[in-house]
Amino acid sequence: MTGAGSRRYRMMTERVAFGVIRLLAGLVVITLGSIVLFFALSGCERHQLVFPD
Amino acid sequence: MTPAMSEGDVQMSSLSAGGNQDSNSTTSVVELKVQEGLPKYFFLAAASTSLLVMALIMIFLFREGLAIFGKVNPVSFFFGKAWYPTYDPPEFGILALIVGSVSVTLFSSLVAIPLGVGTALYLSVLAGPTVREYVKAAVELLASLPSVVLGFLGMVVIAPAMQQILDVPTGLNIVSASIVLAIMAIPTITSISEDALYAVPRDNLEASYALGATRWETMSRILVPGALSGIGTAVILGMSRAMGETMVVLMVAGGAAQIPSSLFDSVRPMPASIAAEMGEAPFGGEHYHALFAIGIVLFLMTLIFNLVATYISNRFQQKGASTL
Repeated sequence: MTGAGSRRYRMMTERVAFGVIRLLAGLVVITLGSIVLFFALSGCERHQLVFPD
Repeated sequence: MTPAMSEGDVQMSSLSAGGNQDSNSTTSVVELKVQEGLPKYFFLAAASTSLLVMALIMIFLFREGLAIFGKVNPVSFFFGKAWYPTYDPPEFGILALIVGSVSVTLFSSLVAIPLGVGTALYLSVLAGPTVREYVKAAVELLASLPSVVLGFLGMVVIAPAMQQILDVPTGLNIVSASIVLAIMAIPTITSISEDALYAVPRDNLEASYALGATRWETMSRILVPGALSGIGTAVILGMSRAMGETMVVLMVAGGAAQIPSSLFDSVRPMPASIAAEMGEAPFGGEHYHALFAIGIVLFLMTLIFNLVATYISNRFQQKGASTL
């Protein structure tokens, strides 16, 4: 493998690895966001049922 | 000294002052000893109380639990597949409960470990200061969610969605329970792993960069190996939390005391059995003692997890500037 190829390979590995890490962290944040959204929406729905306008 | 005072008066007054000083210094030494001693005895009493309470709980647990082995053979208790405590005659085989606990813990770990460690790596290597602040706050918020709230979420959202999407007989199964348990274990794994990654000496990372290594090479060959003991501890403590969790498995695992043949089968992990049945077990009866014996098994499993965490922490402890 040439020096340039090796460097390209290393950079590509880094990009893929960091992409995966970003994806995992993103999944955690999305999970939390979904939970909060679920309870917020359920609460809003209940609120409308109790106090219809 | 006033002009009217004689030399003798001055000597007397200085002697008297010296005497007072001695007396004062003696008093202050005694006071100092008391001041130092009081906190010491207070902390000793606090530590002794914790130990005493723990010892009493363990004595109570073992006294109540071991009584079942006078009536039921230990082999049939641990390896029996039938858990019918209210039948006549009752059957107390807890293998299905152990398999339920282990399967749910293992599958939740499969989900939680990549997510937890990945988030910790993101926070310590990739995230900028502002993003880190928000993501850390989000992860801490996740840790503060009560388990009953997450169980509710699993019961109302995850289980029906799984039943609909995968067309399985019930959504209350190993996978649903594991997903919710993983959500619970992620903050533990993330925060401890992040601390461990942060504790790796900066000099090592800078030396790696100085030698021409990329960020990924530095992370994979310097940062992660340096923090391995902390990450291992984080994983084991996360698993320990999943193993001991009661409310989520009670609500989402399905509650069927059977040995599962697939990941979409319902199970009844040990904490769920104790929580669900203790209220209806006659005090001092066989069922009552069997539930305490399950408590002993659960206690021993959690203890093993904690011992493994301590072992990993010591075995892979980094020798250097700082360590977790």
